[in-house]
Amino acid sequence: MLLRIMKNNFLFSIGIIVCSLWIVIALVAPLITPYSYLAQDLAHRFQAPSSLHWFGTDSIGRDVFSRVLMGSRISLIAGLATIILASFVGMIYGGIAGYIGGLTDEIMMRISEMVMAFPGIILAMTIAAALGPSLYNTLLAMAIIWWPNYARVMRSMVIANKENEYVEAAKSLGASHFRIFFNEILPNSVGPVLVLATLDFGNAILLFSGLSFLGLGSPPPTPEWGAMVADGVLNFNYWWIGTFPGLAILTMAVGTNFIGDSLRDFLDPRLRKEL
Amino acid sequence: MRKNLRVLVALLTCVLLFVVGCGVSKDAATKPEGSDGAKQLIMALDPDYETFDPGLAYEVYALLVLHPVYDTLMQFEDNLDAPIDGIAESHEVSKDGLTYTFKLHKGVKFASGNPLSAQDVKWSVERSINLKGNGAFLTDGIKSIETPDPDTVVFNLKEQDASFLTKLTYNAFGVIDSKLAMENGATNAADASTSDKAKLWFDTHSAGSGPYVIESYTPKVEVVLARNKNYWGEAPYYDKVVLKAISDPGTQLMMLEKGDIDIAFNLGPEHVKQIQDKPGIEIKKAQSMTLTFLLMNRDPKIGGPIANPDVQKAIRLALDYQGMQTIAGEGSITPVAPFQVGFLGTLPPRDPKTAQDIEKAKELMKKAGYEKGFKTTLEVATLAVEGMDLPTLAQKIQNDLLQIGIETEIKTSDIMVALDPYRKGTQALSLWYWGPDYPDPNTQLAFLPGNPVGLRANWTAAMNPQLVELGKKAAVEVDKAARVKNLEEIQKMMDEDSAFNVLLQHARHYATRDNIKGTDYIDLYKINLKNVSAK
Repeated sequence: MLLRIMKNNFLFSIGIIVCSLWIVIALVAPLITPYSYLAQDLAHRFQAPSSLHWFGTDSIGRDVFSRVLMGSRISLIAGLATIILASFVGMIYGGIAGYIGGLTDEIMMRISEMVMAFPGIILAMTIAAALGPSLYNTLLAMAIIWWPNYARVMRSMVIANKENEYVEAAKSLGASHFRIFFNEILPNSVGPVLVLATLDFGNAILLFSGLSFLGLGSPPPTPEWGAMVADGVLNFNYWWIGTFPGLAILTMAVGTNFIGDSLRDFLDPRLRKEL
Repeated sequence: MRKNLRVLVALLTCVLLFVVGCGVSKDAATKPEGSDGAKQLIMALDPDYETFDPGLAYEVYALLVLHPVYDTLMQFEDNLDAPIDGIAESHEVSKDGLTYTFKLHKGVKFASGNPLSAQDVKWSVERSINLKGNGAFLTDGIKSIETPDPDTVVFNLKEQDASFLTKLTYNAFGVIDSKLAMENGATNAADASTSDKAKLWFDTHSAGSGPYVIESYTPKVEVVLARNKNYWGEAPYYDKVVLKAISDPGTQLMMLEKGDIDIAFNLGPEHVKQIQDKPGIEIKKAQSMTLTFLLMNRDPKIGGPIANPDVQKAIRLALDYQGMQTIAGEGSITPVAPFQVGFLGTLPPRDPKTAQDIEKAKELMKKAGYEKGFKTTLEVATLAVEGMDLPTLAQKIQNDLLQIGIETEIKTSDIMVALDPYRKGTQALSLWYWGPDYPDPNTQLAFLPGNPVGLRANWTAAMNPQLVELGKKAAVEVDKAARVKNLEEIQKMMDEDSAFNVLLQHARHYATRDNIKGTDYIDLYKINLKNVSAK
C-alpha cells in the first residue's frame, strides 16, 4: 500500500524519504558524528563551515554538524512522547465522557474546552516555566495543551459506537461497564485518534523546538535544535550557528506534515480518488 | 526567556526605526548642528531607568542622566580612586573621622533662578533618607546634618566610614531646588515615603543646578536634556543631549554607522569586531566594574561535597581562566578576590596562563575524600552579563570541572526565579554576577563571611573570624596606606579560603563617531555627559 501511495503522490514520497532519513540518522547518530557533540575547543570557536567542520563551530568551539545530528534524537523522542502521552490521556478522558454521557459529559467537555480556550504556546510556556526547564516538564506541558483535541475526537467516536448492536449484545450478556468500554467500544474508536496523532507529530516537533528556543527545553549542553537556533540569534554574525539547526527543524516538520496531509487525504473517502 | 523577549522587542524596534527612518536622519548626528542650529549629542543605550527622582533613582544608568542635572558635594573626574569637590569648594574631615564639613561655592543658582544654599543640601539629603528608596542605604551612616551658615554644611556620622566621600557622589545626595520641589509636592518630612508626591513630576522635570535640565522623558523612547542657562560653572558644549533607548546592539551599530547617533553604548566584543575598520568610528574599551563569580555553598546540608573548603579550592584551581576570558571577550580579566581592578588597594589580576593547576586540584579533591568525584547541580540565570551569555559560560565550567571528576548538571532559570534562592542562600553551586553598589572597595566587603553576600553561601563569621576582623578594620580605616594594607591582606586570605571564586571582571565595549571627545568610560556615570564635546 505504501509503495502504491508513494507512486501516485510526490509530496508523500518526499515526506517518507526525509523522515526515514532523520529516523536512520537518529538511530546511528553516535556512530556517524565526526566529533563529540560536547567537545569544546575554544581555540576554534566561530569557525565557518569547512571540510573539518561541515556546519562550522559555535561560541565555545563545538561542532555544529555533530550537534545537529544528535539533536534529531531529542526532537523525535519529544514529538513521539508528546503525541503518545496526549493521545493516551485524551482517549481515556474523552472515552469516559462519551460513555457516561449526560451531566458528567457536559462538565468534562467544558473543562477540556477551558484548556483549549487558552492560547496553546502561552499555556505551555507558563506550565514549563512554573515546573522549571527540563525535557520531562516541557513534554508534560505540551501534553497538557494537546490532550483536549484527542478527547473531543474520542468522545464523538464513543458516542457513535455505543449505540451499536454489539454493545447492546454485550450489555444483554451481562458484561460490566469496564468490559464493555475496553473490549467493545475502545478498539472500535481508536482509529481516527491514531490518524490525528500521526497528523500532529510534525506540529509537536515544531512546538517543542519553539519552547526550547525560548529556553524551556532541557538545560544546556543538550543539543536541542530550538536552543541551538536561540544560540545562533545570540551570535548573529555567525550565520551557520543558527541556520543549520533551523534547516533541520524545517525539513523534519515539513516532512512529517507531507506525510500527515497525504494520509488524511487518503483516509478521507471524498478526496481518496485524487491519490 | 527574557533575552528572547528582548530579541522580539529589538525586531519591533527595527521595524519602527525603518518606518520613522527619514524623521530620525533629519537630526542626524553626523552634522553636529541640529535642524534648528542647536548643537546636539545623540547617544543610544539599553537603559534601565525607573525614575529620575534623585531621592529614589538607583539604577545602573541613573547617574548618566542625573549627574549632569543635579550637582553633588563630591564627584569623580577621571578615575574612581578618589572623589574630588563638586559643588563644595572645599571639605574638611575631623580627626576622629566623624564630622565632615563642606564649604559651598558662592553665588550658585538653580536652573529655576532660585539661589542654592546649605539649607537645600540639608533638605535634599533628608528627603533621600526619609523616602527610603533603593539608594537610601547610602545615607545610613548619617547621624545629623547642620547648616551653621548658608555656605556651610556639616555631616555628623554615627561611626567612621572610609567610603563616605564616595557615597556623596550619588544622586541620593544630589542638591535639589527645595523651593521648586516643594511647590510640586516634595517633602523632607519623616513620613516622606508616603507623603511625598513629587516622583512623577521629577520624571519629566528637574530641579537641579547642574549644566543640563531634563527637558522631556518618554519611557522606552528617549530622554532629552537641555542646557541650563543659569549654570554656575563652565558651560557644556552641547545645547541638547538625547539619550535614545535602543536595546538591540545590532540596531545601535547600524545607527552609528549611518551617523544617526554619536555613541552606541551597548556593544558586545563580537559587534565591535564588525566595525573595526570602518571610517568615522572610534571603538572604545574600558574595564567594567561588573564581576562574574561562582558561589559555592558552605553549608553541607545544601552544598553536600561542595561545602568542603578543599573542594572549593580545587574548583578554583581546576578552571581554565584563559578560556573564560576568551568567551567574555577581549579586555576581560580575572581578579584574585571579589575586589575589582580599578578600586583602591586591589591586587593585580590572576595570570590566566598559570592560574589553572589540575594536578594540585586533583590532590585537593583526594585530600577532601572525593578522589572519584561527585555529582552536583550548577545553577545559572538565563541572561547576558556585559554581552556574555551566562549559560554559555556555565557550559565551559561544566567542561572544566569534569577534569577533576565533578559532574555537574546545569539548571537554567529566569533571573526573576533564580534571585530568590540566591538571596536565601539555598543554592549549592551557582553562577552569578555583581556590580558594586558604590565605587569604593567597602561595597565589596559584602562578600566577607557573615556579611550579606557571604551569607548567601552560608559563609558565617565563625568560619573565618580573622578575615571578619580584618574586614571591619578596612571598612572604617581613614588612613589610606593602612587601608590599602588591610584590603590587600583580605584579598590574599580570600585567595586561600573563600566561598566565592571570581571568574571574570568584564570589559565594556562601545563605540562613538570619531568627531567627538570626552567620552571616556567611568563606571559610576558610564559617560560623563558634561565633558563630551566635538573635536
